[in-house]
Amino acid sequence: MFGEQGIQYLKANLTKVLRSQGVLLGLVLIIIVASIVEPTFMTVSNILNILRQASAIGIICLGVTFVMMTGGMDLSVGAIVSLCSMVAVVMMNTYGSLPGSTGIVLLAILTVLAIGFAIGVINGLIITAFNGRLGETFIITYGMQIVVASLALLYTGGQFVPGIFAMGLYQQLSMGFVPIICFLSLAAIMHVVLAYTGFGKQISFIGANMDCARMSGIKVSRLRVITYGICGACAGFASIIVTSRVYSASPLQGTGYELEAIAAVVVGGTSQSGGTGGIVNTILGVLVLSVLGNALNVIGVDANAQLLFRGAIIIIAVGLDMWNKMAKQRESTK
Amino acid sequence: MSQFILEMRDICKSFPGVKALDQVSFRVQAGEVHALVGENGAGKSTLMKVLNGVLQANSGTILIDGKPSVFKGTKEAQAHGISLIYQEFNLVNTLSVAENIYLGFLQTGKSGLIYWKTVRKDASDLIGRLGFDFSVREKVQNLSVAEKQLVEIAKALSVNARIIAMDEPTSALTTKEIEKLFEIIRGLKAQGITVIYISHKLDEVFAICDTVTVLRDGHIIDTKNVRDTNHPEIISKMVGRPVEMSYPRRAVAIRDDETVLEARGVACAGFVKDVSFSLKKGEILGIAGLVGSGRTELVEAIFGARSLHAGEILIHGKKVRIRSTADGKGCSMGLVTEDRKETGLALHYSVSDNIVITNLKKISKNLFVDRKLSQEQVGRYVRELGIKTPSARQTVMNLSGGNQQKVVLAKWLFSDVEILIMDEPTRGIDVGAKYEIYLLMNKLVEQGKSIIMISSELPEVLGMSDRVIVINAGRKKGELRGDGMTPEAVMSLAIK
Amino acid sequence: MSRAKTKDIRPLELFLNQTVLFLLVGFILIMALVKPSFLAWWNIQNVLIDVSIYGVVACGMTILIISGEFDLSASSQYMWAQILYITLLNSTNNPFLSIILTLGSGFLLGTINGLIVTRFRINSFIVTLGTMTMIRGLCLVFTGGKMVDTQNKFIKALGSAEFLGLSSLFYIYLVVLVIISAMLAYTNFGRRLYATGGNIEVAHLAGINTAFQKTAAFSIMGVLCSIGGIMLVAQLRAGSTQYGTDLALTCVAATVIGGTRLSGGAGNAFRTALGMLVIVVLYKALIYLGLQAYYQNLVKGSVLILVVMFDLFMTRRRTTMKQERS
Repeated sequence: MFGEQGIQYLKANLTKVLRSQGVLLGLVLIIIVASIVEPTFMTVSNILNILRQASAIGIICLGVTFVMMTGGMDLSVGAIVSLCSMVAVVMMNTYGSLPGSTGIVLLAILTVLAIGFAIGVINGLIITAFNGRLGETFIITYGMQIVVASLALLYTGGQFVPGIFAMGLYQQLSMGFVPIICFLSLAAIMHVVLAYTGFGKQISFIGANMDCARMSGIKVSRLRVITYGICGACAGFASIIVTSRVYSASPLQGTGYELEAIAAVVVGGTSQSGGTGGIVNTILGVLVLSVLGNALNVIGVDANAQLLFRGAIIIIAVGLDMWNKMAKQRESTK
Repeated sequence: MSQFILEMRDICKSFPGVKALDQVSFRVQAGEVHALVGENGAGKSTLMKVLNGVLQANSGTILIDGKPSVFKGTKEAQAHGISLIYQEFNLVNTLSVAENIYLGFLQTGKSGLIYWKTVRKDASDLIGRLGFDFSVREKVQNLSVAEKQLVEIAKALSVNARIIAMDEPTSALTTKEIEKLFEIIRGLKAQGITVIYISHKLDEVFAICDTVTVLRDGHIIDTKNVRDTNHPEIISKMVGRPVEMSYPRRAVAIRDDETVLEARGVACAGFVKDVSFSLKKGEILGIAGLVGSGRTELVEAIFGARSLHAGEILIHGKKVRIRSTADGKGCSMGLVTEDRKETGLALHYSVSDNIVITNLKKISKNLFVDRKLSQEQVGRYVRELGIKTPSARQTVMNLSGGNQQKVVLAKWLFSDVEILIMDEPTRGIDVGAKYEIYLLMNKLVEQGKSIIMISSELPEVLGMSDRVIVINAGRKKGELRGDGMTPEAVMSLAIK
Repeated sequence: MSRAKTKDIRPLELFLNQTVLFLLVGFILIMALVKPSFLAWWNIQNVLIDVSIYGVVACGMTILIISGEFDLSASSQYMWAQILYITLLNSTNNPFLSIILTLGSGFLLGTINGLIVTRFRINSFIVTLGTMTMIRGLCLVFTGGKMVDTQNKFIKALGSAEFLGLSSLFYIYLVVLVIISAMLAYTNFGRRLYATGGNIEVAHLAGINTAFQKTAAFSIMGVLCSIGGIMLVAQLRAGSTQYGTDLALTCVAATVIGGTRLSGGAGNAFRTALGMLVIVVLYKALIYLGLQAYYQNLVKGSVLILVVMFDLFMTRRRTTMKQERS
């Protein structure tokens, strides 16, 4: 009977689509529901708003993706954002009103990138000194988070620093399309590097099997250090966008960013054991969480209650991914 | 009362797309040592797993002492007296010997709490029954391979096993330890315990077993008394065609005037004390020695996977500093590791991904990996090495052991190695694939490459090498060539 | 392959295993020299109370690490227990009923964690990251971010009760510590946790229900988090989402400092207690030395890194020495 066969066919393929593109479908669903409840959701200005707000955390996620592809984790990114925020704003306050302020902005950006990179490299060096696996990256970057967070506090003795420099280029970095372009272009570059260059392939391989990578002549330690450095630099870059938007810096600016970033990366489909996933996955994850946050805001759900949704999404997304992987494995042994 | 303690009748077991066992009927007499031989993929492991309750047969019956039995899990199989000792030991490394023997079901006292004294005493008794004496408090990770195997046998005894199946029990044992294992098996036989001996090693089968059953492609081919048959007959039944027993001949390719590699006074903390040797172009140099004598550590140090504490390495007469595997690779060396699943391959990656990783430059155009180029190159190697895979994008995990090993070889050939170091190159690989690897090795040296081969299989080392050095407790005890290459000579140098 | 070698390593290993103990004792001695009042009774009491409250939860974390899992949601569960207990206390005025209900809620939350991890085979770090977020959301929605407090006499009495000069909370911790340690060392359930964490396939083949073991570990953790939360309420008579944000990671740190491998299959509650003692002593010492809050964290973080580095270094040495035997 066509009806029965048709239903079987639909059932089989539906589950397949559900588990492999579940997160994407979820995103679409959220958008549809939100648009129905609140028509202003799908306006251009709101979309841009979402993308703009997602850019800062998105940039951090890009760096975290690289680290997670090697099978590690970086819990210090939030603290790096805090520290770099402080440094950037203080620099701008001190020199920002002088003539030639474009150069100062550039200098601030470079300084902050350097600080982020340096901290990342230190993370990497410590971890690779002992061939640290996931558990060690966890604890070591956690320790570093505490250290860097206290440095951020020490920098101004715990004081909140409002921006007092002249309005200008710096503020523009978070307005209009600029942050979105920064995020997407960085994402494009990193995607190409990860998926199409030797460097990227080696990084993924390290995550797939670190021992095999080492035995195959890959410079595992060096690559890992570079990866952590890149992650730190991304955090530094993100701090520029954040401080630009809020025109100030708080020593606790980046608190909680690391867990948000890891959540987005994981929701997007990059495995925490390394070797699978990538930048495109991460962009999806970032979008899902940002759209969800915005949608809930627009619908009128309390910020605190939103946490319930975010937590649930993490579990559901990863659950779907696991289901998909298991099903694929069963199929491939045919 | 059937004379057959175990009978498996018309067992069928299929996996998606593969019929692993097809109407397999297998009978074992009580108290005998029965060998089960066959190539990789023939179905031996599957048959044993069905017996042990790990897998459920699709159809067929199992009879123990003539009574039909159904095993829904290992516990039930155990209750019927069946124990399976896997090739990769089933032990928890962080726990003690005693605890491993009684894992999860330790003896409790009246209070309901574990009575460790009894547990330890019982464990010690079991070890003693096997003729050994080491502390049962020792953590399993500190034991040698042979000792771990004893723990496995003790485990079987602890549940009063009447049928003990051993899967490739000697793959990591030294000759002395194999002798001891045979003693134990004879001892088990004397106690009335039936042993099923799964192995590729026909020498051992003919030494210790009473009966041999050959499995091929999921079918039982034949069962014979060991006395009534011989090596060639069994091999031809295993492979399905008459096969040469000897190792493939090759054209002499050695360039005596060119020394590609020289190691002088190599030492490595704790494992290698002082080893010197040289490797000529076109030569296959065998490294023999007992397990644990430092052979693997020696080659790891040469390749750069382990730090060298003393000594020098010269490539083509020039001193080189090798401090990492990248350096080793840079000197045109490659290392096929002992354990391809752990350190040789990224199991979840494709054949293609695994092969190209050693030389990404080869498939890149201006920094970027070129898909087409990659497909071409990989295709070449897959064809040349005869890797049986539906496509180069197949996940490596799904390939057979022999093909997996070929992927590892392809990986190193991809980086244009001149010196290939192979550590136990044919371990866990069936007879047919082994021969193919030997042919490949011959081809490589004929092309001008040089090979260092570590092997614990004496026939292999002697059959394939031009020269053999013997390592004993971290030192080079001797070098053999030509007529001097005999098993006795190797053994006398290897054993203190 | 000589047995002699192991015997040689033993005394050295024993020494290395106790480095944490030596560090702790050494540190206390230094502090005593610099500021003798550090060893004052009230200060010791202070330290012990903090160790007790966090220590209870750390016992649970140890159990989970032994079985091969993590629980990041400990912080949130701890917060939730405080809030729930106070709310129940204020509304029912029955401290015992409130305790039972709070423990029940902890058991439930823990079990949910365990079921998601085992049924869906998702890495516990990720799952508990999710549940941590959700429970935190629950807490915030419930309290609106405000602190809650109680005037209940029973809990006041419990909090200030002393026996032999030591707070009742310390005794509660001792009881928990002894029970958990006995469970780990002398019950098959406990030993199966080690097997599950040591090698899950082997444990499974031996007939151990590894899914049950892991779920049970999470359930126990849930209950212990609740006990910890109740203990904090006893001490402060208040609860909020501010207290214990770093609980989960501090417990993991205590376990690592105590010498337990994060890979599972080994460890015990006493070592973790030692590790927790180190952390709290260090923290209090920094406060005592008058170090500003920011410097405290700086030192705390650096010490954590250094201890882990030291521990990894020692593991490496041990593995290299052991390889000789294999």
